[in-house]
Amino acid sequence: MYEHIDKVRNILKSLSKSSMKSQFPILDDLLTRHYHAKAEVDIERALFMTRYYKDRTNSKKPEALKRAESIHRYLSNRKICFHDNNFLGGACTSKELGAPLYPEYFGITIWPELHTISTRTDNPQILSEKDADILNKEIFPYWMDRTINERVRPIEPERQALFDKFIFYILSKAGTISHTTPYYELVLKKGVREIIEEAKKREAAEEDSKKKIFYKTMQVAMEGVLQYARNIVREAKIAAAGETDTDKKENLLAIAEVLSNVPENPPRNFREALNAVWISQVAVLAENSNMAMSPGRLDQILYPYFIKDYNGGTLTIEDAIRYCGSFWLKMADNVNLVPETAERMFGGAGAVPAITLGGVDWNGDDAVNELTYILLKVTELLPIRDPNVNARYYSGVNTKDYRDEVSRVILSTKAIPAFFNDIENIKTMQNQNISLEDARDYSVIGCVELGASGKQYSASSSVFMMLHTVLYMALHEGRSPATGNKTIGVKTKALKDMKSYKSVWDAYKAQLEWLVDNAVHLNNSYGRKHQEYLATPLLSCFFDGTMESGKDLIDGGAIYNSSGVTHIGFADVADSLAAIKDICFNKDNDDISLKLEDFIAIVDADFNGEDKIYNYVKNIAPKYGRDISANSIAGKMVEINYDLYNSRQNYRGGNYQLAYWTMTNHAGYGRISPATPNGRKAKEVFSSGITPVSQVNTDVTTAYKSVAQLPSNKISNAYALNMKYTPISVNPESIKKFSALIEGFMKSGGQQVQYNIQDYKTLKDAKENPDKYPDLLVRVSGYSAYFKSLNEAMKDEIILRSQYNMGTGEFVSIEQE
Amino acid sequence: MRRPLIFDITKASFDDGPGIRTVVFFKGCPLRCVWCHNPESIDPDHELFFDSSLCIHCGNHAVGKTCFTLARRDVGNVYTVDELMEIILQDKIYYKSSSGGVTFSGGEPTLYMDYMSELCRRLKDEGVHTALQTCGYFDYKRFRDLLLPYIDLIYFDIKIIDETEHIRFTGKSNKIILENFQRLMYEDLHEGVCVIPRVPLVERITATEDNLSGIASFFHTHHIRECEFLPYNPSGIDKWERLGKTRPEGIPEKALSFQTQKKWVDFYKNRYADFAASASDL
Amino acid sequence: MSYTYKKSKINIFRIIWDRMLRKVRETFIAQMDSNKMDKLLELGLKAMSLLFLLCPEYRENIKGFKGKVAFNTVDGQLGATASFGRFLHLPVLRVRKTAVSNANVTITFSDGQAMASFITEPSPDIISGILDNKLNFTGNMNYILRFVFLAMDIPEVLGIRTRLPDIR
Ligand code: SF4
Repeated sequence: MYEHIDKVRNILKSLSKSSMKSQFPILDDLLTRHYHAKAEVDIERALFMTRYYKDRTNSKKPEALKRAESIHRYLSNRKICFHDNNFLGGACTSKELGAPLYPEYFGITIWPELHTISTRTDNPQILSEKDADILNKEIFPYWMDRTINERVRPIEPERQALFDKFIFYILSKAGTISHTTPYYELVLKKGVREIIEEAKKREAAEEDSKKKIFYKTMQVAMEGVLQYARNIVREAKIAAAGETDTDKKENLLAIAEVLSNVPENPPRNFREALNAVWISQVAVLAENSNMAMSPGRLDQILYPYFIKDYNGGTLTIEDAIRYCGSFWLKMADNVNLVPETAERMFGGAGAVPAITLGGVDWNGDDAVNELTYILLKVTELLPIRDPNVNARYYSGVNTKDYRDEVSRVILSTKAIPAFFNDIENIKTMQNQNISLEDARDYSVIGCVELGASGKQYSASSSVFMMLHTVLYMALHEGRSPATGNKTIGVKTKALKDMKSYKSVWDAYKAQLEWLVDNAVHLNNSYGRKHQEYLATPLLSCFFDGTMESGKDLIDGGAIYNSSGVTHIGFADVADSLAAIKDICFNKDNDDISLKLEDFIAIVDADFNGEDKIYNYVKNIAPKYGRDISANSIAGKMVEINYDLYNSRQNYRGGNYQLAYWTMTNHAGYGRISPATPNGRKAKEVFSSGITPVSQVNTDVTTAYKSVAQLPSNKISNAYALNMKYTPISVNPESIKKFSALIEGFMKSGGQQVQYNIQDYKTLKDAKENPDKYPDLLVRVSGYSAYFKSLNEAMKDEIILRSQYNMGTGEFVSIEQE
Repeated sequence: MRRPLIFDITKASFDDGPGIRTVVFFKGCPLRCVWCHNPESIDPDHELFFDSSLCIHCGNHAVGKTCFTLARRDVGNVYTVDELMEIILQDKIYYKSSSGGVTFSGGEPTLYMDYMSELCRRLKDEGVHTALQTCGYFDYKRFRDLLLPYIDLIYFDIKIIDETEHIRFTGKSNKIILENFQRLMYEDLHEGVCVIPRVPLVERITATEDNLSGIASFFHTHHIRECEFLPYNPSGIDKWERLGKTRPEGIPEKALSFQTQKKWVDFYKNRYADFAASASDL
Repeated sequence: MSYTYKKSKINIFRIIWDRMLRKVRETFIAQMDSNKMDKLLELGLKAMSLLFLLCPEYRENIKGFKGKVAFNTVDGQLGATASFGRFLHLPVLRVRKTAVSNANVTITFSDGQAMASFITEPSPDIISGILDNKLNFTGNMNYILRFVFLAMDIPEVLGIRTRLPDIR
């Protein structure tokens, strides 16, 4: 079907990282700049928004309209910069590498750090004195009573207090919704002008006043996008006039030419299409925070433009790489604003916009095309933190060649892309009442979550549930370390009254249900406050269903309206429950038998002076990833999570979809959590994502199987399975075997897997000597990061991950190496 | 039927044959190669690994309980054919995706001809590709009748060509080995089976000019065009101590470097080419 | 990190200030006397208040700021309130000796010791305090953030300002 694949692949074969400099000097230069760029706090948007709102403190205008106008104002007045020779016009912030400050969300949390954020040791974000002063005197004072979490607090004091404690659950809506894949194809097919016209027509014909306002906000916001594009055209021309370097001049004029047409009208060529998508992304980030706003299936939406130009002889493969590479680096032009305290939990994360490649189309046919391979090559040539590249694979429909090529790129970059199994993922989405066609058109959001492209407003990181806290409460009558001696959850049985494993499990379930209930209620309250104050007219323009329904996304305008939940501490809790069952309630255990209260007392004392028991728990007790009994507990955990959320609805009338990815939280939370019954001592990290606990001695295929056996139809937002391998020489044979290994994992039911091809030694060395490894890229738990920028806990966690020798297949323990 | 002890089963190996493989290591070997990197594979009987640095002197083992620290580990477990089948078949999905299978290694799997025969027959019934790594020291007739029909691939070690040297470094004459090799190559090579000779490269023992020339000549005479080289790897060197045994003297402590390995492989190839050239001169 | 701009500018005043704080901490924490704790809190707030009066630059920070930050301990033994407002046209901080009930935010410490270490900490870490169950708050968290900034700003305005780099 895609007739040029072989030809294109042949050309791509000749392009390698080592020849970047000669073949793609501009990309090479952009890459160098990217590696050296220092993050700067960008307050431009915050200032425009603040001034807009301040002037209208008593205005009776509908909040949605104010929102649209404030975004319009920012977009049409923001500074236009050309920091480098990128082929695309438009930028997320006014800085070369900007951390935009969203004052209505969490931006205010850097208030205490205004004097120190520029110079802190971990990932400093540079803030000029002038900007700090503006924040302190103008921006923050305005927002201090208006941030979203302070708007929620008065109506949810108790649940918000739980959130404030951090260790029960955290809700992303205090800082972002984002986490979705917009439908940028719309802009390509229609152009912004047509969208505006349509909204205008509908506004005129509409009777319902709320809908009328919505159509109005769409127009206002989108006019801002057009003005922004016009401003770039103007500035590019001015800059070109003053430019002496002919290449630069030409590029600036080309950008002006491109943006004179898009995004207002449908693109005439590939470059325009790509720039239209980029401008759309910039626009969306002007409204929504820069977290996991994912452009989706670029190899699909851009394909018509690519193939037309390629067939017409106006676009070479090299050109395509240049433009797409430019896009990659543009995606990396922003990071999250991170206060020092949050560094501990989230340090080193990018903005995680996910790009999805390959898989099948809505019809179920092979969607791997020439552009898929080109984008894989770009991924290989530019192994950068963002965008987060994900490869879908449908066994039996996608070719083995494609699977091998993705595997080769993973081995070559030692980290990216991540692999997604279409068969399981499509099924699990269907289980959430997503139509087969839409499920087939899924794309990856942020870390690993799945969403029907442009149809599902996923809010996929809504709730982070701390499973280790659930367990702690279950074993301590509803108390938690953060509440001292007070029972805060359900007063479940005292340990001495738990006479069977079932009573432990029941207590776990009771505490979980209590926390789920609180989290869901609070999330829904947040959602309602978002509905009240933070409409998303601009993002709504990039979704299917909103125009027809006349509803903003935040009000349920999308076709699918889910919220996502993810879980921290999954594997450690599974192992802990397995250890309790084995040690306290297993009559056949001849080696050891303890009363529950005695065992937990030992755990609470951090296994101090209890070497024997500690060693038993560490080495002998059943573990998820190795032993059937623990695997089945892990499976049950997935099931009760599903059951608990399945009966609950979100504020948009959608459901809660579950996932198991952890960003860097598992490391950060490990550092602040007491010992767990699986032999994890206090302050030690938790395992990442759905990954079995590090250093559990098991066969690699047994580990794969344990994960693959989990009920994937109950994990509709997927998971992050992190595997680490000793580097091997990359040759056709090793690629084939590695690729077949992935096939085997998927065939046995796996949903997602990602790799670090690194050994303990290198990673330890990289921790000691960060300067020796300036651009060492690692997979964290669904996204990529530069190892040097991770916080210490996270570095340790990645070092500690179980390593397998790809040659012999053996598990290599950290002591062994 | 003699039930063998198995001292290790590793999964998802890329190095032990085509595709992804499960490798089953049998305990017991007729030879005593001084460079053996699996010293626990030699003795057919049960042994113990003991790592004193892990021991916390809890006394568990003395009362018949499991050693929690893994300081004491059994080397050698009994598996019924059923049990082993089950373990091997767990990875069937991977064999299928990679055209892989199972590899029998050791030790010397042919010491347990009956057990192997039943196991391999059943594996063939399940469509699993079977490979055997052998030192070549076995009863040929039994091998031919019991095992050969169920084996797809044989890695056949040709270590040292000179008989005295062979005795010196492996404890046994190579007569039977070379004879078995020739019989296999000339009499019984049926279509489904593939034989790949393997030559270990241990400096000053097998990686010598004399030995590699001899092997080149031998292979040339028997029309063997391809063979594999196994560079020496001292990874098992500390196992001697954990087994409570003294390690044989004179074994190198360092792995063969890539350059040295290449040097010897090139040397072998040149010698082989020489023989080929002089043969065609005739 | 190679970014050492600020480090090189650390001057003697800053060091003295930090030492002083440490000294105060040690003395007070060692003595664990409730009365003195109370004094310490009051003293700190009064010093802050005085600084607002004396230092126009510092005063700029609270221009137009109306709000109350209350402090107390779980047992209710200690308490104080920082009340920001206006006196005539001047922004001022008034200190009350008890925790008022209508504060925008109330920070409750587990005990006097926790309170003492928090208020004498050169850069107070709220999150750690919360996680360790040393402090708790009810009300608007942003008021704490602002208050912490004001505390952090003291050494900066006391003429010992370590200038932030201006990158433009
Ligand atoms: S059981 Fe293990 S740890 Fe305990 S004394 Fe024996 S060898 Fe040492």
